[in-house]
Amino acid sequence: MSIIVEGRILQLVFLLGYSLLILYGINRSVNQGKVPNIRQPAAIAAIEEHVGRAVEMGRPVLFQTGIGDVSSNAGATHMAMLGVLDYTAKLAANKEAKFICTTPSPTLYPMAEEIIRNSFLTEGKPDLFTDDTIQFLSNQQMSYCSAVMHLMKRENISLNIQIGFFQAENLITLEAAKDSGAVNIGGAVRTLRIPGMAFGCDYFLMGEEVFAAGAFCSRDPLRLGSLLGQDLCKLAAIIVILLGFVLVAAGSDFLVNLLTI
Amino acid sequence: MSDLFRSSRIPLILIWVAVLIIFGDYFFGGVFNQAFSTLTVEWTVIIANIAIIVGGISILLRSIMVSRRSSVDIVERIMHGWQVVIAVFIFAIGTAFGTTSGTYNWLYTYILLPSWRTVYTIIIFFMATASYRAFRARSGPSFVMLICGILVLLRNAPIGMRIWPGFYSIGTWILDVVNMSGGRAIMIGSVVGAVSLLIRILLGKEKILGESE
Repeated sequence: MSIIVEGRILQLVFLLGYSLLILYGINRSVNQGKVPNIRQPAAIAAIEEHVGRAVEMGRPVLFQTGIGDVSSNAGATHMAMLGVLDYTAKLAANKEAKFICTTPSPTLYPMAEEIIRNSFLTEGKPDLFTDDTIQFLSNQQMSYCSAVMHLMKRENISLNIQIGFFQAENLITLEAAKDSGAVNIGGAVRTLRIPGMAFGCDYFLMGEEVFAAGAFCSRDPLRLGSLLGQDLCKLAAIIVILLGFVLVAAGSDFLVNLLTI
Repeated sequence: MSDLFRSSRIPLILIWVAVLIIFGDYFFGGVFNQAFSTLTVEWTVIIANIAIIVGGISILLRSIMVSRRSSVDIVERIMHGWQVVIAVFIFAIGTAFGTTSGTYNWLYTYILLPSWRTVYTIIIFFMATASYRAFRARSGPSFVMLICGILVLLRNAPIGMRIWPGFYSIGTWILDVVNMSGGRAIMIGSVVGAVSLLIRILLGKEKILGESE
């Protein structure tokens, strides 16, 4: 009897291989001091720029956490979102911008509340954190939509950030923010939501950029090193795809069979 | 002692344990005691429910505070106060009679459900117009995307085949070749990104674990 479950041997090999490449990137960056010079996505640079603009205009910044629970399959996306929330809350506190975070998830609510409170505390502005800073509007998708649309109009927001896991409410809230004269910064992992984000956002993060957003925000050598590791993983994936392309074209099923072991 | 609880060490240890159990069950299911992973998943649900209680209490307290604040608009104060009354009333009914009781079901079927459906119906019209307004050809790539969207729309809509049968072949090619290859590239990138995020979390370098920086 095989120790590893049949059909999952190569999955484990890939997982370990990817992990080693990412750890190599981290080691190279942290221990050898070769921090990769990675271009910051326009969406991350735009957050700082538009938080400053919000302060100048005297209008608030809105951050939406995305829908669903942390225990669902969207958990990883929510974790990535929390990194951006921390960065944005710190920027808002530092520049003394009015910051509002809305959530349709009761499980994300306490986590987001704690992160924002800590960010304000770190920036030495705990008094800026009020009861209105984080708001649970509804866990029903369309009720949340109508509530957030009302909030956008009432508060006259200047920046709407929605990076994370979104569903059909995505396009509605983006359009409502645009109607309020706000700049939209978004990010989506699901291929189903990426077109909506691309059309509705002024700046947006696509796919893996959402997971890397925390690293882009912090410019921390360890996190940047992990991005180098990610690129190496993608290079490995491209090599396997090209190899498969050549072998299948040559009539060999070797790689196809190998992937199923 | 309080420093230990405030530090990121305890959540980090719990994450390591959970990851090892879940991965162990997935890859070494034959030799691994499945009871561990079942227990871990059960505890995930329990902790998520505790988070719901914490979230619910925070929301209720906020609504009470807003409803008592004189600087807030009167309509909003009434709305928040009413929200508290409704929440407490439904909680009391659910606790007293049980969530499967006729009274609770009546509240759900005849009050909550119609309200949600009404809001949904109103919003869905906005969604249709929002799609119309959002899908603009503002740049080269968005123009290409718009054309692809129209072609796929004509492939799926019955009228497309009536206009020209070739729309089916073009739409299918866009979906099966262009869309799928692009989608898979994004998916591979996302999975690698998720693995990288997991490693950063396991190394205690993500902000979600409290004082990690």
